[in-house]
Amino acid sequence: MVVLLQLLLNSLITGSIYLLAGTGLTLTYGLSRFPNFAYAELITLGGFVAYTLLQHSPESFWAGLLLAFLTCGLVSVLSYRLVFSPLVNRRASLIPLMVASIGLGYVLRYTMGEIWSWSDLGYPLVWTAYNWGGLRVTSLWLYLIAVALSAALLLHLFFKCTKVGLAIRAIATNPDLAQVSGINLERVILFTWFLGAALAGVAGVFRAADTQLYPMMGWDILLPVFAAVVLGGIGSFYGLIIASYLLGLAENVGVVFLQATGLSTEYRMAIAFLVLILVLIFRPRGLLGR
Amino acid sequence: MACLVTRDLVIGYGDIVVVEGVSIEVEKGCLVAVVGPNGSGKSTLLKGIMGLARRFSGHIYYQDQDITLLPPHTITRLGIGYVPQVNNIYGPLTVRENLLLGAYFRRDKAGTEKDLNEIFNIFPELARRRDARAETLSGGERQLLAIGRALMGRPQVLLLDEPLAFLAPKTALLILEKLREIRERGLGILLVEQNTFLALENADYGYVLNQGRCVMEGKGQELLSDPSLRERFLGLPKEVR
Ligand SMILES: Nc1ncnc2c1ncn2[C@@H]1O[C@H](COP(=O)(O)OP(=O)(O)OP(=O)(O)O)[C@@H](O)[C@H]1O
Ligand SMILES: [Mg+2]
Repeated sequence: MVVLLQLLLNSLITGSIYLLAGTGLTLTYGLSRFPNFAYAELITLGGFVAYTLLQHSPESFWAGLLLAFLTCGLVSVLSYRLVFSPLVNRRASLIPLMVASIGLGYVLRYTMGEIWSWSDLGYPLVWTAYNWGGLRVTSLWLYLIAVALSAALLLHLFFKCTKVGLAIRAIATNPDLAQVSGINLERVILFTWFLGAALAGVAGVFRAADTQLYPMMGWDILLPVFAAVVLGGIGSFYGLIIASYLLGLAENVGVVFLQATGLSTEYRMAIAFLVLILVLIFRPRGLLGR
Repeated sequence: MACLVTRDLVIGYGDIVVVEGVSIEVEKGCLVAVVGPNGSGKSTLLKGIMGLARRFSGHIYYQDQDITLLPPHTITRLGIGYVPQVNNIYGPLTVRENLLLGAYFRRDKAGTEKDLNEIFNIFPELARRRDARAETLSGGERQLLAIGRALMGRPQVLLLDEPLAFLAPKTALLILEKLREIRERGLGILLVEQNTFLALENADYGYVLNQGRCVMEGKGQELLSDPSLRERFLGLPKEVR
């Protein structure tokens, strides 16, 4: 029983990271129609800026989250303005936009490596550990799950109940009609680039706090994050929520299975992708894709 | 007073020119029809006015303001409502959300709510389905919704691209009647139609487009009795019986 609960908890933790990191990818794909690989670096950047703040004042974990939120949002907006918007305005197709995002990712990654460090860093933080009848929990994990779930709930309310949320859904279904409904496309798109990247930065802080911080950190989780985005149905926010936790579950069940059979837990990602491929065979557009 | 004027407008896509110098005028409280065969550039003309197609040269004036280079959302906000020929609703969104999006840029909440109720009064078939997804509506209801969405922005000019296509004759007549009501309220309407006869019969003025050029213009009834037009575009005998 405790083993099962631990498994579910671990799945929630993994899934929450995927959810926070994948929201931006899904949102910007829904509006801009290309996968932005530079998201990997925004996840890492969140980890690094919070690290710097924690170096100076180790008590300010929440301030670090906020700093990562703002910095990553801003860098994302700048990258859209400087790199992607000019390409989009010249009607660049999918591949050039994707390649540009990979290139931008490299620039960001090497800049971060030079500014901070190429080796593993750790946050100077100690988390309270609880033992609830055999169930191992840390305060960090509880914060992570709470932040991810509240972010999902707030985003849901935002999409359903606000004008800008309605505009985002309108642009995702019909950008031309949205423009002739009086919606300033560029403004709304910039807003989603900010919000999505800001959440990716938050994911980065949690990931760094839970494991280690290194320039490839974002890139290393980008693959499963992409898997979650595709599994949910590219561009579908609700699909992403389900897919994130489903992949989290698959991965952690996989770990138990691998340990039982004496195989390396390095293969855990393979199991997540097995789930992805199986789902795509039966639902090529993902769980909630249109 | 002319509320929408184009002067020698040249419009296309990328490097392709489709509309080659068209000048039209829409007066307040008038229904102006643009007719012409398939591919003559009618839709392109409307997209050009809205800023959705490339404007190569020429001018567009709205109430004496030059709007030639403005982006689509600004043109919409100034008071030009546009109903595209295809994809003119937000399919996965509800009827109510579709209509609210038409009023997206308006700040007066009370006025928006009032107009929403008025649209539901004018089009009771929409009121019944207000919480249904737009893609579940019938063809006729979709056209009503598309027009309703454009009206929610309180436009002074309405551009309609084939709102009667694929509709049952009864629905088409209903929409035409609603358009006449809208005109009575002082709006200028620019109506693009394949059904030349129906359009010109109801229009105050008409333009005939062919291969991107305006080949004929005049009062609706006059155009209808023009022998060459009757023969080329209506498939009717040259003489009015
Ligand atoms: N997005 C586009 N890119 C390139 N060419 C286009 C585009 N849309 C239309 N065209 C071309 O422009 C020409 C005019 O098309 P348009 O849609 O304006 O005609 P139309 O008069 O509205 O025809 P219909 O009565 O069939 O709606 C056609 O030759 C068409 O192939
Ligand atoms: Mg057309």
